[in-house]
This record gives sequence, structure tokens and C-alpha cells, in this order.
Amino acid sequence: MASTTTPDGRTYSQVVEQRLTPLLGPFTARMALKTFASSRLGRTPDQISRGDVPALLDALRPMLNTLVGSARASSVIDELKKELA
Amino acid sequence: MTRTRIAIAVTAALAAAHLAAVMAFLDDPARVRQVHDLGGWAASIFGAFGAVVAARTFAPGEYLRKVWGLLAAGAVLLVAGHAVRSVWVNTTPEIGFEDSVLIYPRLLLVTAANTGTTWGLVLLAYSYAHSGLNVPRTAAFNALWAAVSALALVLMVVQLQKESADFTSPRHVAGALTGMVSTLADTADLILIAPVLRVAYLMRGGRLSVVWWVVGISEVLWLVYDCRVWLAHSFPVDPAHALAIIYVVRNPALAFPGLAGILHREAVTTQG
Repeated sequence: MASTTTPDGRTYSQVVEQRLTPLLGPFTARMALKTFASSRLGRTPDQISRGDVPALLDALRPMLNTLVGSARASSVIDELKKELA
Repeated sequence: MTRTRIAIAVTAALAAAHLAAVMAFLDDPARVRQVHDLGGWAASIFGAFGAVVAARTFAPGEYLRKVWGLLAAGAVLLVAGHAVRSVWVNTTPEIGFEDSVLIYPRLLLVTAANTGTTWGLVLLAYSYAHSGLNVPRTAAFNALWAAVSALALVLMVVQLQKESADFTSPRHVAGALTGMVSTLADTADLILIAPVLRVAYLMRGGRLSVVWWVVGISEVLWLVYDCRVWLAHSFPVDPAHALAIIYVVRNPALAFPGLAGILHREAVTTQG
């Protein structure tokens, strides 16, 4: 089974949540992860593995486009891609 | 000083200067009217500026571009509507504005401004759901929304009764229609207070939430402004004085969308 934790011991979902929280707040960051992990991947946030990250970030993009605009959305997604590479 | 702090300071300074000037001329109704006129100019220009800044932050076709484009259009048209009235009142004081030919273009400006602003507010309130997030509404929220909506509807009925009383000439009809359009848009905007503040609450703790808070508070201030005649009679001071002071809330109500626009730009352009 694929690992759900990064080399520093955090889960992949925690890394994404921590990146979204300063912008969206903790509740909406958690809600976004839960919503899109479930709808796109059919999983809970805790079950997200490294292989799921690209699909999860793709799923988050339209939500970010709506709330922060495409430029900021791209920069958040790019930062997450680098962090989780 | 960051742009955020500058924008907050400008908004506070506009309201404080308006209030101080009203207090200074409280016994001189003509001067108080001039102060309100000047305060309205400054606040509405700042409101339009910030909304335009926000609209230009987002690319054409983006959801937020539509939201802020509509709010900006509404704010700019409100400045134009204010200008039409202000120019007439200050250059032709012997003839009331309700008897001026400018009442017709102002009707068009006010209608367009209110349509843009209300549509923009609907999109802003709908932004959370549009993003794909769905949080069920609580019973407490529904109760608050129903209470505010009921108050908005009562205000609408009272105001429409007053405005429909003057259909004595074509110009007075245009004046009455201007008031009715504003009243209907105000009602829609007040009904949107709870949904806008709900988005702010759901994003509490995040940089974006302040945008929805400020727009929501702006609408709350409009609610206070719309209740000003009732409120003025509930204070233990001369109702004319109380009315002059309560009227000052129009200043931050006009300026806050501009502040929200600048804060939105700062929230999405600041890294980290």
C-alpha cells in the first residue's frame, strides 16, 4: 500500500491543508480537502498518497480559481507540487 | 506602512473627518448638508477606486473579475449619480433637484448602479458554493437570515409607500422611480447580508475572510442608514441632530466596498 506520509512525517493532506489555511482559513481548508478528496479520489484526506497528489491538486484548482483568481491559484498549486515532489 | 494599513487608515479617516465636521456644524443644517455632500463624494470615490483595483486584479473571464467588475461598475455609476445631484444642488440651489431635468439621467444612472451592485453582491455571496464547496446551513443561520430579510421587507414596504406618494408630474415620477429602484435594490442587498457574512465566517482565520466581512459590514451599515429615521427618534437628543449623526454611517457604507477590493487584491497578491 502506498505511503500517506511525506519524508518529514506529515500526511500529504496535512501539507496541502497547511498551505491552504493562511488563505482560506482552517475550516474551509479542511472542507476543501474533504470535499475534493472524496469527489475526485473517493478517499478521505488521511488516505491520500503521493500518487494521488496530482489529481487532488487538479481537483482543487477550480475552487482556488473561484476564490483567489487563476494567478494565485497557479502559484499555490505550483508551490504544493514543489513541496510534494 | 502596507497598502492594507493605508487603505484601512484612509477609510477610518474619511469617516472620522465626516463625523467631526457634522459635530462641528450640528446647529447649522445648511452646513451639515454640505458636509454630507462632501463626505459622500470622498467615500464614494474611494469605494469606486478600491472596487476598480480589485476588478483589475483578476483576469477577464474569471469569476472574481465578474464579481468585482459589477461592484466596480455599480460604484462608479453611483459616483456619477452623486455628481449629477451634487452639481445641481450646488449650482442651482433655488430649484429643487426633484424639479430639475437632470432627474432623468440620474434615474438611468441609479438604476444601472443598483443593478450592477446587487448582481455583484449575489455573485459574491454565491462564490463559496460556486467554488464547489457545500456546507449545510445551520438553523441559527436560517433564523438570522429570516430576521434580517423580514426587517428588509418591512423597510421596503414603508419606503415604497412614501415614494409612491409623489406622482404629480413626469419629473416627480422620475424622482419617485429613482427612489423605488434604490429601495428595491437596498432590500435585495440587505437580504444578502447574512449569506455574505456566512462566507466570511466559513473562511474565518484566513486572509480572504476579511473581504467578505468588510462587504457584509458595509451592508449592515446600509441597514442602519435605512433605519435612520426610526433610530433618530430612539436617542435622548434632538432627532434632527441624531439624524445628522446617524447619516454619517453612509460614509463607511460607501467606502467599505473599496476597502474590501483593496484587501482582496492584497490577499491574493501577497505571498505566503
